[in-house]
Amino acid sequence: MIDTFLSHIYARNPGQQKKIGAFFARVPEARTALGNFLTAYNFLWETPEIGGIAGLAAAYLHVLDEMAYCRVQFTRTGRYPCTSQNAVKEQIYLNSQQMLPHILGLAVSHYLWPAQYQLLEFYKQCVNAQNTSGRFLEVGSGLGIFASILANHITAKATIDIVDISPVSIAFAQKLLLATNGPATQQMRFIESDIACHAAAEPYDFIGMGEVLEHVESPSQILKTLHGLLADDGFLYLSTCANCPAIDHVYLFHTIEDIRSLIHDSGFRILRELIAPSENKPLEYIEKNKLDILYATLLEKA
Amino acid sequence: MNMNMETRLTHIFHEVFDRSDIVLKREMTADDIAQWDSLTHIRLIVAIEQEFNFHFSLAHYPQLHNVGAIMDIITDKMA
Repeated sequence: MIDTFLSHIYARNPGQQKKIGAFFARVPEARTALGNFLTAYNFLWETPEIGGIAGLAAAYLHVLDEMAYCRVQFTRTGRYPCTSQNAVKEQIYLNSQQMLPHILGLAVSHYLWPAQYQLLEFYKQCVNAQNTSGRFLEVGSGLGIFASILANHITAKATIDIVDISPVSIAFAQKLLLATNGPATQQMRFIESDIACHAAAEPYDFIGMGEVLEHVESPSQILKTLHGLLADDGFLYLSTCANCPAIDHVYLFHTIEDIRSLIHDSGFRILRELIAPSENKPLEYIEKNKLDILYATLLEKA
Repeated sequence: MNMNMETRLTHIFHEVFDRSDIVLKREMTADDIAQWDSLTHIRLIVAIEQEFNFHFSLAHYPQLHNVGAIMDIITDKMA
Protein backbone atom coordinates (compact mmCIF):
# COMPACT_ATOMS: atom_id res chain seq x y z
CA MET A 1 0.00 0.00 0.00
CA ILE A 2 2.82 2.41 0.88
CA ASP A 3 4.46 1.98 -2.55
CA THR A 4 1.16 2.67 -4.31
CA PHE A 5 0.59 5.73 -2.16
CA LEU A 6 4.08 7.14 -2.79
CA SER A 7 3.92 6.39 -6.53
CA HIS A 8 0.75 8.51 -6.78
CA ILE A 9 2.60 11.40 -5.13
CA TYR A 10 5.83 11.07 -7.11
CA ALA A 11 3.99 10.82 -10.44
CA ARG A 12 2.29 14.18 -9.88
CA ASN A 13 5.08 15.94 -8.00
CA PRO A 14 8.55 14.54 -8.81
CA GLY A 15 10.23 16.92 -6.34
CA GLN A 16 8.58 15.01 -3.51
CA GLN A 17 10.53 11.88 -4.39
CA LYS A 18 13.80 13.60 -3.55
CA LYS A 19 12.52 15.10 -0.32
CA ILE A 20 10.61 12.09 1.02
CA GLY A 21 13.22 9.64 -0.27
CA ALA A 22 16.01 11.50 1.56
CA PHE A 23 13.91 11.62 4.75
CA PHE A 24 13.11 7.90 4.71
CA ALA A 25 16.78 7.07 4.00
CA ARG A 26 17.76 9.11 7.07
CA VAL A 27 14.84 8.02 9.29
CA PRO A 28 13.67 4.58 8.08
CA GLU A 29 11.31 4.21 11.03
CA ALA A 30 9.25 7.07 9.57
CA ARG A 31 8.60 4.94 6.48
CA THR A 32 7.52 2.08 8.71
CA ALA A 33 5.27 4.44 10.66
CA LEU A 34 3.71 5.67 7.40
CA GLY A 35 3.05 2.07 6.35
CA ASN A 36 1.40 1.34 9.70
CA PHE A 37 -0.67 4.53 9.47
CA LEU A 38 -1.89 3.71 5.96
CA THR A 39 -2.81 0.15 6.93
CA ALA A 40 -4.41 0.97 10.29
CA TYR A 41 -6.78 3.54 8.82
CA ASN A 42 -7.44 1.85 5.49
CA PHE A 43 -11.13 1.66 6.39
CA LEU A 44 -11.17 5.49 6.31
CA TRP A 45 -9.38 5.81 2.98
CA GLU A 46 -11.86 3.41 1.41
CA THR A 47 -14.88 5.57 2.29
CA PRO A 48 -16.50 7.27 -0.74
CA GLU A 49 -15.61 10.75 0.55
CA ILE A 50 -11.89 9.96 0.39
CA GLY A 51 -11.75 7.60 -2.59
CA GLY A 52 -9.07 5.12 -1.60
CA ILE A 53 -5.32 5.51 -1.34
CA ALA A 54 -5.31 7.59 -4.55
CA GLY A 55 -7.75 9.99 -2.93
CA LEU A 56 -5.51 10.29 0.12
CA ALA A 57 -2.50 11.02 -2.11
CA ALA A 58 -4.55 13.63 -4.00
CA ALA A 59 -5.47 15.29 -0.70
CA TYR A 60 -1.80 15.47 0.29
CA LEU A 61 -0.84 16.93 -3.10
CA HIS A 62 -3.63 19.48 -2.76
CA VAL A 63 -2.24 20.61 0.59
CA LEU A 64 1.24 20.90 -0.94
CA ASP A 65 -0.13 23.10 -3.73
CA GLU A 66 -2.02 25.26 -1.24
CA MET A 67 1.09 25.67 0.89
CA ALA A 68 3.24 26.59 -2.10
CA TYR A 69 0.61 29.11 -3.20
CA CYS A 70 0.52 30.68 0.28
CA ARG A 71 4.33 30.61 0.52
CA VAL A 72 4.65 32.55 -2.76
CA GLN A 73 2.13 35.13 -1.50
CA PHE A 74 4.00 35.35 1.81
CA THR A 75 7.30 35.88 -0.03
CA ARG A 76 5.66 38.73 -1.91
CA THR A 77 3.71 40.40 0.90
CA GLY A 78 5.20 39.19 4.20
CA ARG A 79 1.63 38.45 5.36
CA TYR A 80 -0.61 35.43 5.72
CA PRO A 81 -3.39 35.22 3.12
CA CYS A 82 -6.17 35.64 5.66
CA THR A 83 -6.45 37.72 8.82
CA SER A 84 -10.03 36.88 9.80
CA GLN A 85 -10.71 33.83 11.92
CA ASN A 86 -14.42 33.96 11.01
CA ALA A 87 -13.67 34.06 7.28
CA VAL A 88 -11.48 30.95 7.61
CA LYS A 89 -14.20 29.25 9.63
CA GLU A 90 -16.81 29.92 6.94
CA GLN A 91 -14.58 29.10 3.99
CA ILE A 92 -12.77 26.05 5.37
CA TYR A 93 -13.76 24.61 8.75
CA LEU A 94 -17.47 24.47 7.93
CA ASN A 95 -16.91 23.44 4.31
CA SER A 96 -16.35 19.69 4.01
CA GLN A 97 -15.11 20.01 0.39
CA GLN A 98 -12.24 22.15 1.68
CA MET A 99 -11.77 20.73 5.15
CA LEU A 100 -11.58 17.01 4.41
CA PRO A 101 -8.61 17.10 2.00
CA HIS A 102 -7.01 19.61 4.34
CA ILE A 103 -7.11 17.39 7.45
CA LEU A 104 -6.15 14.32 5.42
CA GLY A 105 -3.14 16.02 3.84
CA LEU A 106 -1.97 17.40 7.17
CA ALA A 107 -2.44 14.04 8.89
CA VAL A 108 -0.26 12.22 6.38
CA SER A 109 2.36 15.00 6.50
CA HIS A 110 3.27 13.77 10.00
CA TYR A 111 4.91 10.78 8.34
CA LEU A 112 6.33 12.52 5.25
CA TRP A 113 7.91 15.70 6.60
CA PRO A 114 10.84 15.53 9.03
CA ALA A 115 9.62 18.42 11.20
CA GLN A 116 6.07 17.04 11.48
CA TYR A 117 7.43 13.59 12.31
CA GLN A 118 9.62 15.09 15.06
CA LEU A 119 6.56 16.87 16.39
CA LEU A 120 4.55 13.65 16.53
CA GLU A 121 7.37 11.87 18.39
CA PHE A 122 7.71 14.79 20.80
CA TYR A 123 3.97 14.63 21.51
CA LYS A 124 4.20 10.89 22.27
CA GLN A 125 7.02 11.59 24.73
CA CYS A 126 4.97 14.30 26.44
CA VAL A 127 1.91 12.03 26.70
CA ASN A 128 3.93 9.06 27.94
CA ALA A 129 5.24 11.23 30.79
CA GLN A 130 1.66 11.79 32.04
CA ASN A 131 -0.41 9.77 34.50
CA THR A 132 -2.67 7.28 32.77
CA SER A 133 -5.72 8.39 34.73
CA GLY A 134 -7.18 11.85 35.09
CA ARG A 135 -8.91 14.37 32.90
CA PHE A 136 -7.51 14.99 29.43
CA LEU A 137 -8.47 17.61 26.85
CA GLU A 138 -7.47 17.53 23.18
CA VAL A 139 -8.00 20.81 21.32
CA GLY A 140 -8.08 20.86 17.52
CA SER A 141 -8.39 17.17 16.78
CA GLY A 142 -7.96 17.22 13.00
CA LEU A 143 -8.28 13.64 11.83
CA GLY A 144 -7.81 12.35 15.39
CA ILE A 145 -4.24 10.99 15.27
CA PHE A 146 -3.10 12.83 18.39
CA ALA A 147 -6.31 11.96 20.25
CA SER A 148 -5.66 8.33 19.33
CA ILE A 149 -2.25 8.54 21.03
CA LEU A 150 -4.01 9.84 24.15
CA ALA A 151 -6.61 7.08 23.91
CA ASN A 152 -3.87 4.44 23.79
CA HIS A 153 -2.25 5.96 26.87
CA ILE A 154 -5.17 6.16 29.26
CA THR A 155 -6.71 3.61 31.63
CA ALA A 156 -10.41 3.10 32.40
CA LYS A 157 -10.28 5.82 35.06
CA ALA A 158 -9.44 8.60 32.61
CA THR A 159 -11.65 10.79 30.46
CA ILE A 160 -10.83 12.65 27.26
CA ASP A 161 -12.72 15.65 25.91
CA ILE A 162 -12.03 16.31 22.25
CA VAL A 163 -12.85 19.84 21.08
CA ASP A 164 -12.70 21.08 17.51
CA ILE A 165 -14.37 24.00 15.78
CA SER A 166 -14.94 21.99 12.59
CA PRO A 167 -17.83 19.50 12.34
CA VAL A 168 -15.82 17.68 9.64
CA SER A 169 -12.87 17.15 12.00
CA ILE A 170 -15.08 16.03 14.88
CA ALA A 171 -16.96 13.55 12.66
CA PHE A 172 -13.78 11.99 11.24
CA ALA A 173 -11.96 11.92 14.58
CA GLN A 174 -14.96 10.14 16.08
CA LYS A 175 -15.05 7.66 13.21
CA LEU A 176 -11.30 6.99 13.48
CA LEU A 177 -11.30 6.60 17.26
CA LEU A 178 -14.40 4.40 17.32
CA ALA A 179 -12.77 2.01 14.88
CA THR A 180 -9.31 1.91 16.45
CA ASN A 181 -9.91 2.63 20.14
CA GLY A 182 -13.46 1.32 20.48
CA PRO A 183 -13.71 0.70 24.26
CA ALA A 184 -11.84 3.91 25.13
CA THR A 185 -14.40 6.00 23.23
CA GLN A 186 -16.81 5.34 26.11
CA GLN A 187 -14.55 7.66 28.08
CA MET A 188 -14.48 10.35 25.39
CA ARG A 189 -16.68 13.31 24.60
CA PHE A 190 -16.56 14.77 21.09
CA ILE A 191 -17.40 18.46 21.27
CA GLU A 192 -17.88 20.74 18.27
CA SER A 193 -16.95 24.11 19.68
CA ASP A 194 -14.55 27.02 19.54
CA ILE A 195 -12.10 26.40 22.41
CA ALA A 196 -12.61 30.00 23.48
CA CYS A 197 -16.22 29.03 24.37
CA HIS A 198 -15.43 25.69 26.02
CA ALA A 199 -16.18 25.36 29.73
CA ALA A 200 -15.52 22.42 32.03
CA ALA A 201 -16.93 21.51 35.44
CA GLU A 202 -13.51 20.42 36.69
CA PRO A 203 -10.00 21.37 35.58
CA TYR A 204 -8.00 19.15 33.23
CA ASP A 205 -4.80 17.33 34.23
CA PHE A 206 -3.44 17.42 30.71
CA ILE A 207 -4.34 19.56 27.72
CA GLY A 208 -2.96 18.94 24.24
CA MET A 209 -3.34 21.68 21.67
CA GLY A 210 -1.46 21.09 18.44
CA GLU A 211 -1.24 23.77 15.77
CA VAL A 212 -4.22 25.88 16.81
CA LEU A 213 -2.66 29.17 17.96
CA GLU A 214 -1.74 30.25 14.43
CA HIS A 215 -5.40 29.81 13.40
CA VAL A 216 -6.81 32.45 15.75
CA GLU A 217 -6.73 36.24 15.85
CA SER A 218 -5.84 36.39 19.55
CA PRO A 219 -3.54 33.57 20.70
CA SER A 220 -3.18 35.24 24.10
CA GLN A 221 -6.94 34.91 24.64
CA ILE A 222 -6.77 31.18 23.88
CA LEU A 223 -3.84 30.66 26.24
CA LYS A 224 -5.75 32.55 28.93
CA THR A 225 -8.69 30.18 28.40
CA LEU A 226 -6.41 27.13 28.64
CA HIS A 227 -4.80 28.53 31.79
CA GLY A 228 -8.26 28.62 33.34
CA LEU A 229 -9.10 25.09 32.19
CA LEU A 230 -5.85 23.50 33.41
CA ALA A 231 -5.39 22.14 36.93
CA ASP A 232 -2.76 23.96 39.00
CA ASP A 233 -0.49 20.90 38.79
CA GLY A 234 -1.52 20.04 35.22
CA PHE A 235 0.48 20.08 31.99
CA LEU A 236 -0.16 21.76 28.67
CA TYR A 237 1.30 20.44 25.43
CA LEU A 238 1.34 23.16 22.81
CA SER A 239 2.58 23.35 19.26
CA THR A 240 2.48 26.17 16.74
CA CYS A 241 4.75 27.63 14.08
CA ALA A 242 6.54 30.76 12.93
CA ASN A 243 6.48 32.05 9.35
CA CYS A 244 4.24 29.22 8.19
CA PRO A 245 1.76 30.57 5.63
CA ALA A 246 -1.28 28.38 4.95
CA ILE A 247 -4.82 28.96 3.75
CA ASP A 248 -6.19 28.84 7.30
CA HIS A 249 -3.36 30.51 9.24
CA VAL A 250 -4.31 33.88 10.66
CA TYR A 251 -1.80 34.88 13.34
CA LEU A 252 1.80 35.38 12.25
CA PHE A 253 4.56 34.58 14.73
CA HIS A 254 7.78 36.00 13.28
CA THR A 255 10.21 34.19 15.55
CA ILE A 256 10.33 31.43 18.15
CA GLU A 257 11.05 34.15 20.69
CA ASP A 258 7.64 35.70 19.87
CA ILE A 259 6.01 32.41 20.85
CA ARG A 260 8.05 32.03 24.04
CA SER A 261 7.18 35.57 25.10
CA LEU A 262 3.47 34.88 24.62
CA ILE A 263 3.77 31.68 26.67
CA HIS A 264 5.49 33.50 29.54
CA ASP A 265 3.07 36.43 29.42
CA SER A 266 0.17 33.96 29.60
CA GLY A 267 1.35 32.56 32.93
CA PHE A 268 3.11 29.37 31.82
CA ARG A 269 6.59 27.97 32.37
CA ILE A 270 8.41 26.03 29.64
CA LEU A 271 9.50 22.57 30.78
CA ARG A 272 10.79 21.24 27.48
CA GLU A 273 10.60 22.31 23.88
CA LEU A 274 11.22 21.25 20.31
CA ILE A 275 12.28 23.60 17.54
CA ALA A 276 11.91 21.94 14.16
CA PRO A 277 12.68 23.94 10.99
CA SER A 278 10.82 22.75 7.92
CA GLU A 279 13.97 22.61 5.83
CA ASN A 280 17.30 20.98 6.52
CA LYS A 281 19.13 24.29 6.91
CA PRO A 282 20.75 26.10 9.84
CA LEU A 283 18.30 27.99 12.07
CA GLU A 284 19.98 31.29 11.17
CA TYR A 285 19.25 30.67 7.48
CA ILE A 286 15.67 29.61 8.26
CA GLU A 287 14.97 32.77 10.30
CA LYS A 288 16.69 35.10 7.85
CA ASN A 289 14.68 33.71 4.94
CA LYS A 290 11.46 33.53 6.97
CA LEU A 291 10.96 29.80 6.37
CA ASP A 292 8.59 27.67 8.43
CA ILE A 293 9.68 26.63 11.91
CA LEU A 294 7.55 24.27 13.95
CA TYR A 295 7.62 24.75 17.69
CA ALA A 296 6.31 22.37 20.33
CA THR A 297 6.53 22.62 24.09
CA LEU A 298 5.38 21.09 27.35
CA LEU A 299 4.25 23.70 29.86
CA GLU A 300 3.14 24.02 33.44
CA LYS A 301 1.58 26.95 35.23
CA ALA A 302 4.15 29.47 36.41
CA MET B 1 7.27 28.07 -29.45
CA ASN B 2 7.71 31.66 -28.32
CA MET B 3 11.53 32.03 -28.40
CA ASN B 4 11.50 35.23 -26.44
CA MET B 5 9.53 33.60 -23.68
CA GLU B 6 11.76 30.52 -23.75
CA THR B 7 14.93 32.63 -23.56
CA ARG B 8 13.59 34.58 -20.59
CA LEU B 9 12.45 31.39 -18.86
CA THR B 10 15.83 29.73 -19.48
CA HIS B 11 17.54 32.71 -17.89
CA ILE B 12 15.29 32.32 -14.82
CA PHE B 13 16.19 28.63 -14.53
CA HIS B 14 19.90 29.50 -14.76
CA GLU B 15 19.55 32.10 -12.01
CA VAL B 16 17.30 30.12 -9.64
CA PHE B 17 19.23 26.86 -9.89
CA ASP B 18 22.59 28.61 -10.25
CA ARG B 19 23.41 26.53 -13.32
CA SER B 20 24.12 27.94 -16.76
CA ASP B 21 24.11 24.53 -18.47
CA ILE B 22 20.35 23.96 -18.23
CA VAL B 23 18.70 23.65 -21.64
CA LEU B 24 14.94 23.67 -21.20
CA LYS B 25 12.87 20.83 -22.60
CA ARG B 26 9.12 20.61 -22.27
CA GLU B 27 9.21 17.24 -20.49
CA MET B 28 11.69 18.45 -17.84
CA THR B 29 10.69 18.05 -14.17
CA ALA B 30 12.43 18.18 -10.81
CA ASP B 31 13.75 14.72 -11.69
CA ASP B 32 16.03 16.30 -14.29
CA ILE B 33 17.48 19.14 -12.21
CA ALA B 34 19.15 18.11 -8.96
CA GLN B 35 18.74 21.58 -7.44
CA TRP B 36 14.95 21.67 -8.03
CA ASP B 37 13.59 21.14 -4.53
CA SER B 38 10.77 22.65 -2.48
CA LEU B 39 12.76 25.82 -1.70
CA THR B 40 13.96 26.51 -5.23
CA HIS B 41 10.48 25.64 -6.52
CA ILE B 42 9.10 28.66 -4.64
CA ARG B 43 11.96 30.86 -5.88
CA LEU B 44 11.24 29.67 -9.41
CA ILE B 45 7.55 30.60 -9.18
CA VAL B 46 8.33 34.01 -7.65
CA ALA B 47 10.94 34.72 -10.33
CA ILE B 48 8.56 33.76 -13.17
CA GLU B 49 5.80 35.95 -11.71
CA GLN B 50 8.20 38.91 -11.49
CA GLU B 51 9.66 38.42 -14.95
CA PHE B 52 6.34 37.95 -16.76
CA ASN B 53 4.32 40.24 -14.52
CA PHE B 54 1.42 38.01 -13.52
CA HIS B 55 0.45 35.82 -10.56
CA PHE B 56 -0.24 32.12 -10.82
CA SER B 57 -3.64 31.14 -9.45
CA LEU B 58 -4.00 28.22 -7.03
CA ALA B 59 -5.49 26.19 -9.89
CA HIS B 60 -2.17 26.47 -11.75
CA TYR B 61 -0.10 24.94 -8.96
CA PRO B 62 -0.66 21.24 -9.74
CA GLN B 63 0.83 21.93 -13.20
CA LEU B 64 3.95 23.80 -12.07
CA HIS B 65 6.11 20.69 -11.80
CA ASN B 66 6.72 20.38 -15.53
CA VAL B 67 8.52 22.86 -17.81
CA GLY B 68 6.08 22.36 -20.70
CA ALA B 69 3.07 23.13 -18.50
CA ILE B 70 4.82 26.22 -17.11
CA MET B 71 5.54 27.42 -20.66
CA ASP B 72 1.90 26.87 -21.65
CA ILE B 73 0.63 28.93 -18.72
CA ILE B 74 3.07 31.76 -19.46
CA THR B 75 2.12 31.72 -23.15
CA ASP B 76 -1.55 31.82 -22.20
CA LYS B 77 -0.97 34.73 -19.81
CA MET B 78 1.04 36.68 -22.40
CA ALA B 79 -1.57 36.22 -25.14
